[in-house]
Amino acid sequence: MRILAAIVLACSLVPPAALAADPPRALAAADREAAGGRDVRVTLAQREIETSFDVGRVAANFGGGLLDSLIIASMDNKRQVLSNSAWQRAEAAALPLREALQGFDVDALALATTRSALAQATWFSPREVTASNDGSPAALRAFIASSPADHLAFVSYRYDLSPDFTQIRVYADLSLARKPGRNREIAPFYEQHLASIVQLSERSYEHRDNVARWSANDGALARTALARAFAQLEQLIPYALGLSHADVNALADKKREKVFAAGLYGPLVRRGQQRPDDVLIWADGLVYVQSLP
Amino acid sequence: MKKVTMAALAATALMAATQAQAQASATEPACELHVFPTLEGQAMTTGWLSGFGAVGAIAEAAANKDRNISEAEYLKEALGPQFQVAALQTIDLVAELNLPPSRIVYETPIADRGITTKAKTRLTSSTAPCYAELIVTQNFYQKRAIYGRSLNNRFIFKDFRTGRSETKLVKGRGGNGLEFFPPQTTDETEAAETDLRNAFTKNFLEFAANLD
Repeated sequence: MRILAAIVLACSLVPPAALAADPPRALAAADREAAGGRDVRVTLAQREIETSFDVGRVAANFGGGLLDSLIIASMDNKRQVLSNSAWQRAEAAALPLREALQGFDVDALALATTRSALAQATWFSPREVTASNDGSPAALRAFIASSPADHLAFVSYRYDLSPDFTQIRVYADLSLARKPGRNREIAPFYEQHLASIVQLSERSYEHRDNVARWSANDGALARTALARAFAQLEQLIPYALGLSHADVNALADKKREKVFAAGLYGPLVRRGQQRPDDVLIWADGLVYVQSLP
Repeated sequence: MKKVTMAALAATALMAATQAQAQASATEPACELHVFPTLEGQAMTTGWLSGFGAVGAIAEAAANKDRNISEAEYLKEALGPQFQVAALQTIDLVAELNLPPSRIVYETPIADRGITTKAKTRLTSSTAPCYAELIVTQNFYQKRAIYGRSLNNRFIFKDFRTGRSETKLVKGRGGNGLEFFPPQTTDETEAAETDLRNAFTKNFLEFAANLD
């Protein structure tokens, strides 16, 4: 009860700005118009595949009172230490895959995917599509300042290994905004999050075994997975951009049939688009899951 | 059995399972039991000081901080998914769960407890009418001043043989004492890990015995 009271107190101290709503996940018809076209910024701010980890729950030994619970919580760094250790192990295990993917041009794949995807949305009017590996706020500001267009679009990609190394996941975050006035922050009027996940067909509980499978034959499976993941995003991006508010509400409806896929559980959008086991679900955005044959 | 052999057995089990899902043989049982081990490994040591109010609790937390970290790390390694599977392979899982002859499929662990402890639907794409799931949801080592060392596990059993797409989650736990875990020296490692796996198996049997 005291811990609950502390949580309630902490929540009441959160500034209202932090509780501001995210931009809508669907575009209003009027927001599709972009007189003069949109400048598109494609960002892939990584040079190699990232790793991820999950330390799960960490046991906490809280005292019986509010004060001692707060003191113990403030000096408790178990989660951080366990996370550091898990991250180091994951980084070490991923090395052979990173070597195998040397020379595989993910930047080009991301750029080509974006160009092809946006060309399918006939109303989108992409003007210039430029790519960058710099995702910093300064680089973003420089892009906005240099763009002559009044309408801007951002596609940020990220790719990684799932915590058990059985999946290669590619994420794409889309946002649209109008060019802000001088000294004003950009304020997107649309955001959507997409994920395209490719799973190994033969999986092991051992990270190193999974890395060995991805890395064999000069990373053949990993390269195939990345190509397939981006190919799926090429379809998902125009699909997501075409969703109306009613579509998004229907997809996220809790009464919709729910399915489990790749560690996620969410309303089913559709099954078997390309292969029988493929599945598209809604899990705070569209997530496409497929397994390698 | 040596650690490497146990791990290799379990790793092979998952590999075989994923292949078998794609090409189930006609001679295999029609029923399926899908087992999800857990990635969790929690450790908590508390001593006599915890009984001395706020100051005691703070002193206790500070004194055992590093130990709780190293033991959680050790537990995750010593009772990771491959070892849970190896432990479950030493017993007749299907008989303990009162299931008809079933093909056992060892699945990839699910990290999100919101899914493992709440989802009422199937967690695989299998459409077999005779289908059940066993999920391990907790791996918790405790050392307490009075009660000593113990391993606690929580399990969930989901039986879909009713033909419905949603089923109830039968939750339960098992807890057993530990004698040799955590090891004090490297010589005790094997005994400690055997101790841990035996406790895990007993915990499952306790859970299974309480199923209707």
